Amino acid sequence: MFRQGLRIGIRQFCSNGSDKTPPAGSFRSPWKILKEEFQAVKQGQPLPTELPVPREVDILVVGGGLIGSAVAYWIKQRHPKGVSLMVLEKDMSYTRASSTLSAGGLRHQFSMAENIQLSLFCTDFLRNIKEHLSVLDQDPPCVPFNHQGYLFLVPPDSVEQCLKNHALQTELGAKIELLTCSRLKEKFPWLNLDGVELGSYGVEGEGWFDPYCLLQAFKQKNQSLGVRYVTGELTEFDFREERIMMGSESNSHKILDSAVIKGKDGKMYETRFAVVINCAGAWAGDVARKAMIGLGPGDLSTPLPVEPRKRYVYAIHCPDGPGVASPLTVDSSLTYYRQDGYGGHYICGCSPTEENEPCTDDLEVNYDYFHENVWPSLASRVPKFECLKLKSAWAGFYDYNTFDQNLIIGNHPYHRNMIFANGLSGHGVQHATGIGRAVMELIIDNDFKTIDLSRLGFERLIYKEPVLEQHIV
Amino acid sequence: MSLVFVYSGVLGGCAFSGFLMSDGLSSSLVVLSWWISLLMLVASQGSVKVGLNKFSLFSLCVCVLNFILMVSFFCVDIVWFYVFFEASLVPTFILILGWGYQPERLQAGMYMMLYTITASLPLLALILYKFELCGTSSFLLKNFLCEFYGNGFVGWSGMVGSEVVFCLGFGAFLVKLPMFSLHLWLPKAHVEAPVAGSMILAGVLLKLGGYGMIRVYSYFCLSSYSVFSDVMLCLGLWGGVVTGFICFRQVDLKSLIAYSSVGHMSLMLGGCLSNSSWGWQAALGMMLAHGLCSSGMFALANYNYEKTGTRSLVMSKGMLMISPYMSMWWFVFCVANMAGPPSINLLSEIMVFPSVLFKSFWLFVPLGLMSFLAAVYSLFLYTSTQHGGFPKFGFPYGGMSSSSSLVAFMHYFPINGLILKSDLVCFWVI
Repeated sequence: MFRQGLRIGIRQFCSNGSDKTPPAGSFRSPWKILKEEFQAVKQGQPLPTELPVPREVDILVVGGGLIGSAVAYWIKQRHPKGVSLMVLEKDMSYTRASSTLSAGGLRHQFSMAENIQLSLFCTDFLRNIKEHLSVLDQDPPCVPFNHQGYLFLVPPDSVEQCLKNHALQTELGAKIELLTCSRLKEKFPWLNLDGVELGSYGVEGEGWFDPYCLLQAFKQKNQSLGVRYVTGELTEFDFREERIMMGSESNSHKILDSAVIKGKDGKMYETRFAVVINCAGAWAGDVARKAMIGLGPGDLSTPLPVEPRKRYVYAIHCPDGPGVASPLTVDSSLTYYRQDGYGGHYICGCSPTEENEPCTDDLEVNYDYFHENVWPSLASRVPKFECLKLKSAWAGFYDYNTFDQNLIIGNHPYHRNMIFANGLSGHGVQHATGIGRAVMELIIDNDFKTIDLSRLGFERLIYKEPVLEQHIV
Repeated sequence: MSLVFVYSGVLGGCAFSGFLMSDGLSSSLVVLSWWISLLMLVASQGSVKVGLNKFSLFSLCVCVLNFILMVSFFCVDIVWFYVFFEASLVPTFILILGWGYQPERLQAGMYMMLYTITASLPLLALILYKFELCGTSSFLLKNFLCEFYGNGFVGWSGMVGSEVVFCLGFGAFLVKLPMFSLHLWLPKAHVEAPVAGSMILAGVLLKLGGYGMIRVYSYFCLSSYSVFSDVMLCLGLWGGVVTGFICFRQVDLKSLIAYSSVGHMSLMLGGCLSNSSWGWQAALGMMLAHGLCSSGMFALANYNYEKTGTRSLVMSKGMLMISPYMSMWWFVFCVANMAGPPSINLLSEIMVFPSVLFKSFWLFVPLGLMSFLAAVYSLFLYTSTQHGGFPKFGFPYGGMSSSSSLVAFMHYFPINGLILKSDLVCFWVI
């Protein structure tokens, strides 16, 4: 009995208390570590060379979609051995991720200089993708890009805004043509031009691509650079306290120190990091809440206003449809369609109004929405679409920024080591590359160097100064 | 208490009992090990004490390690010295495993243990053989060790394979030192060790190797009769130059300081093997100076790590803006690292130069290169951590706990203060 008591005493003395693998620097029983090491001898199987979840990393990227992978790529390619980076993704098959469910359009026709520049950079990147993302001894990355361009149909009351946008776009280097009704009739005879004054047509660099191919290309390159992709779910953050002395009073400041991750095997691991980058897409708001953003006093009282919004994409078949020459056409009612392959297949959709926002519990498709909202406006714009067959549909989430539907990028004023790259509300896929580079510049060069995104920081949410994009689809 | 040793009886040698003795070399190193052990505990406050990280077990390890080191420096008998030399690995291993950063998959621990143990086993055999021959295993009884002319034993030079003896005898200590080609364990151990482990490793454990070399040198009467001492000297010095170059390529702060340790210890090796009294004095000086300087730099690197959460040189820069007070300590230690006056680093380098040049004039090339490179990488370390823009993710507030400034000051004070008592370094000779 004495021996038992002694054994319990030693176990308590030497153990860690919980079942969690502690972060770097915290005590973990050497006995346990040695036991794990020599398990390989007992089992006769070699141990993996790395832990399933590392105990410390320099940069933790939460979210392994396009934005997370782009951020990881840009940081790692700058200095592969200098920074240790981990991408945490809870679903490596990307079944609910916005990146893979996106329609994959790339347009330069925005009203904000930042958005235009980001899209222009993405076009340039895709053009030179083999230079950027090739890995030695592996297949070169292949992201086929359909150069068909975007066509925005502008009603009379939006012409002024359209002209302003066009001036800005041309100044920044985008090749956009403004077409009058007669030119539109010539180029796109299948369109019904009632209520259309002007057409804004991108002639170079706009189009669409398969975002899954881009994601795989990024992943392949990242893994060759040494990025650790870890399957797991972030359950909470751990903080460390620091006292700030200001005159005679002292405040305590909680600093994000480590992340508690539930691994693929169900065990809990804790990883210490220096910087955490929130690339969680539609679930960015959850991640922010775990860091007490929105739930605390002072600077922590402003929540991250990003929530998932469901959007439907319908696949239709219309053999007499507009055909190969058709760009991605966007109506003033925000109904859009584009062709999908060469067999007369198209995909189309329409953003619902605020009142009709569908429920985001799941990714079920509402086919009534197509029949009531999308088909009528589609058919009125393109008469040929009156007889079509609805083949299938899918739904995906926008990471919708409820404040001003624009990117939130930069570090949080309180949690200085948490960097956001969220809230893209539907243009995440086309801006991912540029955002990745911007975050890299923030971390390594301490400021935006190529595209200045300082207007889109978190501070505008606290000061309530929205930066609105006029051209939302 | 340790300061008492510094001020009394250092110049001569005095044996307290059949088991313990102290002379200039021993007592200085014991003072060093006590100093660093105490500073280890202070420096680990942030990570171990505050975070409820099993502080009692931690301090037990530190105390045990300190005791083992003290006895190993003080003991007379070479067999006991060997026992404590090996025993010091165990608490270090526990410290690295228990509180290290990512000790799983055990590269650091295994490398350290295997290197040291493998290299030192032949040493044990050699010691026991010599013990049989000479009948005594004490350092002090020098008279009995080398005479024996009557019995046909003329030291080691007459024997066949004296080079082998030389190699085997020194192997353990060269690994511990570490000499260039046997140094792989050091950067790995430092990167994964907690701050306390790094401090004691760089501060005292490497000096165990140096101390052992000096003792074994006299025990085996090896006085450079063998060509191997020249080979080892040159290998060590050129290795120091190579590690100087490697320092520029490091991206981990602690790894950079570890490689600079290898460079400094190769200078010490040069002093030791040069078979001159200046060389041995320089070796002691180097041991004290490097112990304080390296250990201080590791404490500062830990402060950096606690502020920014990363040890990467790419990401932790602009510290001048975040905590200017620490920049002062960084600068002072970088200057000491490159042997800037008036530190004891400079004193020992100055003494190493003539003693090594006495062996061969052409050795001024690696010596000069090493000094130059030390300056370059020390300044590189300073500018890459302190200068540069203000990092977006740094926390400029948070004040500075008095423990970090205490640690920095206590490390620094002897470096520049002991120059006033240079007879500590210059006048101990067996």
